[in-house]
Amino acid sequence: MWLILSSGVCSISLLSKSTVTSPDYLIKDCAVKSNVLSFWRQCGRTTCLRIIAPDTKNTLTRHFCEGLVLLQWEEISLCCCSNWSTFRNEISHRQGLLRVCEFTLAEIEHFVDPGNKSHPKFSDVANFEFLMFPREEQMSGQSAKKLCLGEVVAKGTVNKETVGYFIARVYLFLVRLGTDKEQLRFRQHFANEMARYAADCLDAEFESSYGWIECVGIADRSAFDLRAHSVGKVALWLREISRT
Amino acid sequence: MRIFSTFVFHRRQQIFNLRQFQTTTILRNPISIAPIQIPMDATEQSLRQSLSEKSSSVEAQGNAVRALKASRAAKPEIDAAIEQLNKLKLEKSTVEKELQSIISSSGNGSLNREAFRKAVVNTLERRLFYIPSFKIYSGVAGLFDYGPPGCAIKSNVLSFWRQHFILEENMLEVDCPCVTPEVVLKASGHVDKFTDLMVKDEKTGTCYRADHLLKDYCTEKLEKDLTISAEKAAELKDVLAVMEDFSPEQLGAKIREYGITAPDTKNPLSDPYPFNLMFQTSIGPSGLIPGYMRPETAQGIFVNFKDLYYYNGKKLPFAAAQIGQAFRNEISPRQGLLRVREFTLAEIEHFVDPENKSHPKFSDVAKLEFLMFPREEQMSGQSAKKLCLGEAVAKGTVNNETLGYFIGRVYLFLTRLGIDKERLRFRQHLANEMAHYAADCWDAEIESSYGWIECVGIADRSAYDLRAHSDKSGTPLVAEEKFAEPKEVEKLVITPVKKELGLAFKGNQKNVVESLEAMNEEEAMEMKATLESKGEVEFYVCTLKKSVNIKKNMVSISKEKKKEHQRVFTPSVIEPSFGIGRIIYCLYEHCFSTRPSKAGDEQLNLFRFPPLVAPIKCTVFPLVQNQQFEEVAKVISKELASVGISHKIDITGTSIGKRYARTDELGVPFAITVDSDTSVTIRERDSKDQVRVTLKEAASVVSSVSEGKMTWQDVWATFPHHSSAAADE
Repeated sequence: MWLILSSGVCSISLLSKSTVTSPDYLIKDCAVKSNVLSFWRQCGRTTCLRIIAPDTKNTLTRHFCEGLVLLQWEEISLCCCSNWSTFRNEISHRQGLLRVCEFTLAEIEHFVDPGNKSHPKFSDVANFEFLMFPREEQMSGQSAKKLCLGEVVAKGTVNKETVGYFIARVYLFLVRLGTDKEQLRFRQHFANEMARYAADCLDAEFESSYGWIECVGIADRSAFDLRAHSVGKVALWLREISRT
Repeated sequence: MRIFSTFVFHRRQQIFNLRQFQTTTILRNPISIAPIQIPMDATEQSLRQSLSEKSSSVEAQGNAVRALKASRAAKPEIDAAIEQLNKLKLEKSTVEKELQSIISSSGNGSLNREAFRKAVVNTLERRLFYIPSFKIYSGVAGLFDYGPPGCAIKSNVLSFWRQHFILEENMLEVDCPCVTPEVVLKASGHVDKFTDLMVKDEKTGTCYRADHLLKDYCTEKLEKDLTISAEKAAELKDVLAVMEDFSPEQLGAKIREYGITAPDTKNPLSDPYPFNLMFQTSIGPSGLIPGYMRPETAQGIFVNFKDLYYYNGKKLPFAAAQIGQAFRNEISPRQGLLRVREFTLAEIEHFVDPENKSHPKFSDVAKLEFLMFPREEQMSGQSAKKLCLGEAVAKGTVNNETLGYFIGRVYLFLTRLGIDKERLRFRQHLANEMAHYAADCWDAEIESSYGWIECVGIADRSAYDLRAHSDKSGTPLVAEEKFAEPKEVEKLVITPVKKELGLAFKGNQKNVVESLEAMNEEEAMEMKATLESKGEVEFYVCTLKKSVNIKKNMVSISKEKKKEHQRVFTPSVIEPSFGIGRIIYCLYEHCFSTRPSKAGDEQLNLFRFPPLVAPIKCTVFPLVQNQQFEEVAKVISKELASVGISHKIDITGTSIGKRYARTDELGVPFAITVDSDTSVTIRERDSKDQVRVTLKEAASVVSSVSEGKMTWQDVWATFPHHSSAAADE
């Protein structure tokens, strides 16, 4: 047994772009939205947190501490996901449904030991090939290219197996919804685009009449969030419990 | 080892009902009307009278004893007087106990309820059904997070709600934003009227809801002060019954009259003043577009009525529905999960022709019998009684068939979720509780440790909402009915002569024209008669706030016969409105119970959720930590996943009994225990009964029984029974 000072967080944000202040989801759009969220929940096959607080992400992090006491007999990797409205007072609205004051987010916080970011189910997705746009190819002015996920992780283009696993799951989710796989790419953030604490970050981007639109962010946020909320208060750390 | 105090919660017979007044989603009636007298129960009244008389007798006899002693009377005489005094004291004590018993049994036994609530809430928080939001930063009152099991239950409740209402009635579901521009909420009346009356501690500035302070005072006096007179008790009950209608001045007067002070500090309180409960914001950086976080979800539907009506092929009746978050900046949230600042509403707006509120499917619910509490029974101090819905509608107790249909459907929905039908009643609003435009309103109230809680409001709001938004927006929100044959109708025609009116009224011509055109038939015909006989008439223009002189040449009024091919009207709205969080909290209380462990040394908690709402349907346990059993457990787990059954594997080495107890506390209905590699047992939570099934059958059996295709009785009759001496701690 040993003390782990912090946990890494692998964060996935699925942005479901929604209404400006006036247009509403009506009828078919509402049914489509309900079906998307229902499928998302099933794909995750994880327990869902219902967040009442306005900010979805921070609330989830705080469950880590309480959740551990309850779930100590669960595996160390645990996921929490949530969906509901998020609000941003955008300065000016353009791009119709793509940039709005109020929109629906579905987010997952996957807590993991920073010393071990392998994933037991990575082999299920290692053979996938889809359009990826690594940092190097962007820098040298090339286009996105079809790459094999397993190779990309092995080469270190994608930082860790867990990140790779979620990239593939997002790919499956979006294609299953009906997205054209030829107009879907996973673009890696430049170093200057990432928050300083992030280890890696890729966006699922769709091509639309507005250009390539970021719809899902998949980030390895290392341990920033739990450390930030730990300061001065409850210790949000994990002690490995051996099963005897 | 945890030891919980033994606790039995059961419902006592209601002798007298006092409604627990709550803020409702319907705007309260701004018109003040005379207080309604609700008589006190005769027994309680006579007991209070009797107690008062006994107290007087005891006091008089005490005085007599002191007088005898002072006058040095003979000892036998003093002894006889003392004996009489003791006898009277005993009689007084008997009456006191009897009165206390009646008060307690009338549903205000708060001590037992609080103990029960504590047990429920402790379990809910410990198992992460919910926790206060931002707990590691000390939290914020009135905001709560749902944890994994709470979130799953809510998801299940909403899924079932969609199935029971939206799919059943082909409702048009919409999803509108929470951020709402001020103009919408101005039209709906919320900007001006969505308020609670607030008082402040004059020294510390702490805010309280004025009506809660008054209610707490009255309730506490009635429950705990046995010495108050029968008249005083009646007065307090009257106040409780009518305080919903009090103006700020009336409420302030009562608070002063009773000497009510701030609860924590005993400081004096300010006069009450209205506090708007909406969270305000501005849309965009300029601050030029004020907005609010919506207080209800209905307005989004009303403003879209026109498009929805066209989408529905211009046919009535039809319904629109919305599930979403609503917000209330409560003055001081209390009652845990029942009064919160952000909550989930599920609302239906059923649009109907005001001239035809029959419902084609009413016969499906007409035979239902359940507790109803009509207005008349409340006024006469009776209790809720079991009534047949069809008869209640036929007699006019319920205003119309459509309203009755939804009452029946709500009853079916709530009982299916697991709400105890004996602790569910439909209470009709008193006339003073309804908004002035409402035709009838019933609340589904569920009994909980906080009393009877309004969880669903079912209101016939007539045509108020669509008219309000039509007027303010300029977009007519109307429906049409085409006649099979054109009808010849006599129609009022008012034609102002703008030239003459302009000459006479100049800048005010427009106001006069509008007022003339707005006259109803009676007013118009009266004006016509006066103009013909006198040549002029005084006419009040409300927008100018004065009367003007109208001459004969300024307006022409007549009736014309016309052929009309259709009737244009504003639909009425029947609105069931569900407080999802309240329903879920009451569900927790109704499903919670305890039972002794096998050793008998502690009480184990369990939630008896129906499989429909249980957060996890099944737990899979290898009996012992063993590679072989764990492999079998994983195979079963994959099968359960493939049929969409939420489940959990527990591979800890804890005793099977302890693991059963843990899974019962989450309300998981079924447990699969792997004790061989060819067959497993399935245990049912409530009975603890177990059956043995083959590996191949396990997932499909659990799936069938979870989805209601089979009952546990079917399973019990089909498969070999299993008993285990070691199981169940």
